Parts: sequence; C-alpha cells; structure tokens
Amino acid sequence: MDELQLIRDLFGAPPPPDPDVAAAAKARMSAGGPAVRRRFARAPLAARPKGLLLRLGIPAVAAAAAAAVAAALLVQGAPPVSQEGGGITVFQLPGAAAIGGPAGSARGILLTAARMAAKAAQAAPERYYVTPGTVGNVVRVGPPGDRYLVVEVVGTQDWAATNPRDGSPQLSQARYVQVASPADRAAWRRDGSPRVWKHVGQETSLADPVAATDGWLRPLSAAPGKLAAGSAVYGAQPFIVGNRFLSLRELLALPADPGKLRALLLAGWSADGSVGTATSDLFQMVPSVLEMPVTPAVRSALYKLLASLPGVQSIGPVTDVAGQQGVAVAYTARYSGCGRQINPTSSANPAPLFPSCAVQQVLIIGPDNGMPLAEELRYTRLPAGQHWSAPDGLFSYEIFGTPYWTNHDRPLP
Amino acid sequence: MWHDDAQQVELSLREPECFGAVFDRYFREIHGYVARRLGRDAADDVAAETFLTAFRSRRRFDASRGTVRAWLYGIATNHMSTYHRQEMRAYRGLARAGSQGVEEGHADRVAERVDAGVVGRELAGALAKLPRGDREVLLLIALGGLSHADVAVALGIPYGTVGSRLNRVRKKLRGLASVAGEIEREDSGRG
Repeated sequence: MDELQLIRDLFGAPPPPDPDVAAAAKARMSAGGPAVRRRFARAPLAARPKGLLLRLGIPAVAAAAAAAVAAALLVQGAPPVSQEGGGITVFQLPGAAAIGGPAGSARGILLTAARMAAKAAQAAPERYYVTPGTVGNVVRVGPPGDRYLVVEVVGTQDWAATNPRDGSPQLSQARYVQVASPADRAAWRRDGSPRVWKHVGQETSLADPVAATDGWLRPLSAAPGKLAAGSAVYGAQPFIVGNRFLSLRELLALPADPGKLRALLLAGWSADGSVGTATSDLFQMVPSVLEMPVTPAVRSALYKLLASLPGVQSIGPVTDVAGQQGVAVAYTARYSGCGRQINPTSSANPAPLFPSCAVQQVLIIGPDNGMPLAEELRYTRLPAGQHWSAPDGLFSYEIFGTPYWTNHDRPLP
Repeated sequence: MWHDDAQQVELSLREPECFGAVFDRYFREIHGYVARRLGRDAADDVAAETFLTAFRSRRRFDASRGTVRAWLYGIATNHMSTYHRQEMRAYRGLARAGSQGVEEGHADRVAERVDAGVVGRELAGALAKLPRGDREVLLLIALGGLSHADVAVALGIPYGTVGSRLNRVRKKLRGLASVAGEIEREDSGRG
C-alpha cells in the first residue's frame, strides 16, 4: 500500500492535543445533556466498481501494435455523428441482441464462461499490463426546474507496471457527451443548447470518473478533452483485489478456488441490511479482477464464484452500448440514499438524489472467450414520482477493452 | 471491571459518566486524525464536537452495525465537513508551490515536511480534486487506519463501495492533472 504510506508521509505524525483542550472537551461532553436527534449523512450508492469500459476498436491485436498506438487509443473511434446542428447526439441503448438462442440460466451462463476462461491462454508478463476501456456516466445538468440528463463518455487506460520504478498511471480522456433521450434533448434545447456545463448535479459515486466535484467542478464539456494521467498508484502493488493491494506475483498466486476467492474478496465485510448485500458487492468487485492478469484457473474460479451467488438472473443474449454481442447476467439490490446532488456553492454534505432505489447490475460476457465485455448499472425502482429519463434507467456503463502486456514506454500526457 | 467499547456505551445509557471511558480511549486518536487533516486548532473544535455529538446520540449507537471507533470516525467526518473549504485551500496551496502563499499554520507545517517534493505536490493536488466521498475513504484508511468494514460504517456506505471507491480513487485521479491549471485559475478568480 505504498500510496497510503505516501499519504501518511504527507500529513506526518499528528500533534498531540493540549491536555487542557482534552479536559475542556470532556467537561463539555459530560454536560452535554439529553440526546438530540441528529441526521447522519448516508453516502450514496456507489455501485460503480471501477469505471465502465467500452471497447475502442482494438481486437486482440499484438501487444506491440497496441502499445504503438496507445497514446492515440483513448481518442480512437470517432464520436457519434451529430444529427443536430448543436453537435450532440441522443444516447442509444441497443438492448436485446438479435443473435437468438435460448437465454439459459444465469448459472449456466456463468459456468460456461468459467469453462471458456479456464481454456484461455495466459500471456507472459511484460513491463506493463494495460487495461483499456470506455466509461459512460449519466449526469444530471441544466437549470433548476428543468434538469436533464447527459451521458459523459470517457476513454480510459490503466497501466500497471511490473517494476515499481515505472509507476502505474491511469490515463483518461474525455471523448464526447450525448443527451440521454429525446426528452432530454428538448430540455437541452430549452437550456440554449450548451456545449459546456458548469454545474454538474451528480455525485461521484454514480458518475463522472474524471470530474472533480465538491464545488470545484471541472466544467463538463461536449468537446474531446486532452489525455490526462493520474499518479495515484506508486510502488509494486498496483492491483486492488477486495481489501488488498497486490503485486503481480501476489495476483498470480491467488487461489483458484471460488470459496477462497469469495473469502478474500469479502474479508472484513459485514452485513448492513439497508444497503446492498454480499452478492451485490461481489458483483461489483469481481469484474475488475476478471480484467486483471490473473491465471486462467483463477478467472474460471471467479466465474464459478458468481455462479454460486443467490439471486443472479439471466438476461441472455444482448448487445452492449458499443454494439458488442454477448450474454448477460444481472443482480438487483435495493439501496438507500442513491446518488447525490452537488451544490457547487455549498460545502454542506450533499443530499441524495433519491432516498431509495433498486439498482440492477448487468454483467455482459463475451460469447467466445469468457472475458467480461461490459457492465451496466440501471435504476430499476425509484421512489414514487421520481423519474430517470435515460433508457432503461441506465446511469452508468463500462465497456471493457481487451487488456494486453507491453514492453513499450507508457504514453506521457 | 473492564468493558469493551460497545458495553461501555450501553452502560452509559444508565450511567452517563461511563461514556468517559470511551472519551479516554479515543479522544486522542480522533483529535490526531482531524489534526493531520485540518491542523490542531480545528481539531480541538472538531474532536470536542465529535464527542459531544457521540455522547448525546449514544442511544442511537447500534453495536450490530459496527464498532464504536468507526462510529466516532463517522461523526468526526460529518463535523469536518464544515472545514471543507479550508482543507481544500490547504491542498491547493500545497499543490501549487509547496509553501509559498499557502495558509499559514497547518499547511505550512505540511509543506515543510513534504519539502514541495513533486510527489507531495501531486498528491496534495490530487487530494484537492478528489470527490469528497473518495477522499474520505482514502484518508480514513490511510490516516485513520480503519478497516474497510469500519470505513463502511463510518461513512454509511456499503462494504463493497469502500473497495470500489479506493479503486475509483486511482481511476479518477488520472483525469485531474490536465485540469489543475483550470482549477487554480478558478480558485484565484474566487479570491
């Protein structure tokens, strides 16, 4: 956990409290009187696991070729062609695929994926492991009283170094913005057809992998952004699995046992009846591990773990946002306090967008290789009178690119 | 007779002075956590408010939901939100130049220690730009030494969210380098 040590170093050792201060505080507390009601802020649902990815047109190309275009990758793939003078298209959700075939049970789908994953070849490690993807997050913008939804689409690349001296940056690049539905396009027009939004009314957990919120908003822009890098990960353990930061060696040593993997992912987990379940949390954590350079046996065991979970439903053949065809399974859980509105002029804790909701987490799996293709998060139930205009209640998606090893230098923004 | 934290809180429902033991166990720790983030002056206020709130609302403590320690960190986190702007200014000051033009006191102290090192500046800048929820998770783990389960209780978020936020911290930070200048301009524009 080297970056945690860096944080500790940055802040140093805490200065001890003055004994008089402690005594005064204790006296004040003791005189505190009767209990008062206090509202504890409940943080929003953050069903967003690690962002959501979209294949950017790289099939399983050779690593060298992929690396050669790495810097350009994030902007590869033209934005949707505008049908409007304003340059903004309406988001489309392809939904059920026309590839036919029976839906099958969720367990059957996941065990098939487990078999395919077990047979996949394992590439030899090189200098970096690169995980490309595309994230789309639905955010609420516009004037009070006439809000509307837009989809912010961002290309992403995680570079995980095998040598800690290389650093493991995460790259991202804003690609484009769409309006979420025809109704949202109408509201966008009423708003004067803006291409930049200063006040993005949506929090962190549900939306926006790159914008700084908390009143220090990066204006959301419909124009493509520059390639940007974060330097959050230092040291030799760039892979986050459950509670733990793992090195490549540790990642490769994970047990190929669904029960042990479950225990590892849920270490320290405690049930909280009001917010999600172990299954929903595993559903959040497993896809990101599937993308890591784990052994085929571990990837297979992760699918078996998903297959063992109660309440997972089969959706069957679908087409994801990027047009890829796959088979989908889903899990739905109820949450309290979903999403948060940011008031850029206030430092107060933001209120949740919805006091409660049910969220469906959809995992779309490649039919040919058992790799995760995409993930979608949808509101399936909102409080009475509440509405989310994006198709099928979608509020976030991630299209997983094809990860690869490379010995090339990483791109520097 | 020694009682564990939860028992101590329960006892304090009948005998309020029993809450003193909770204070004695955790005041210094909570104060230290806040002091690292906000400086000692703010920590004096926030820590005192935290224990006053905890004492007043001790009936609402539910041992089945988590530890007393996590509960206290959650209360402290809520109280710290009123210092949010101050904390952000300190981070941004550090990110800009190390110690020049930074708030005196706490930020200077931190700035000296990191010696305006590139990593320290990057880190401070990154912290300033993290969404609050992500920053709280990161700092509760890094500075408070809380487990993921305790962070989930302290912030009232699902356990899986803690891990996913940590994940996302990594992912979110990446987009921030390019907007640092923009935020600084906005910051100076706001005076």
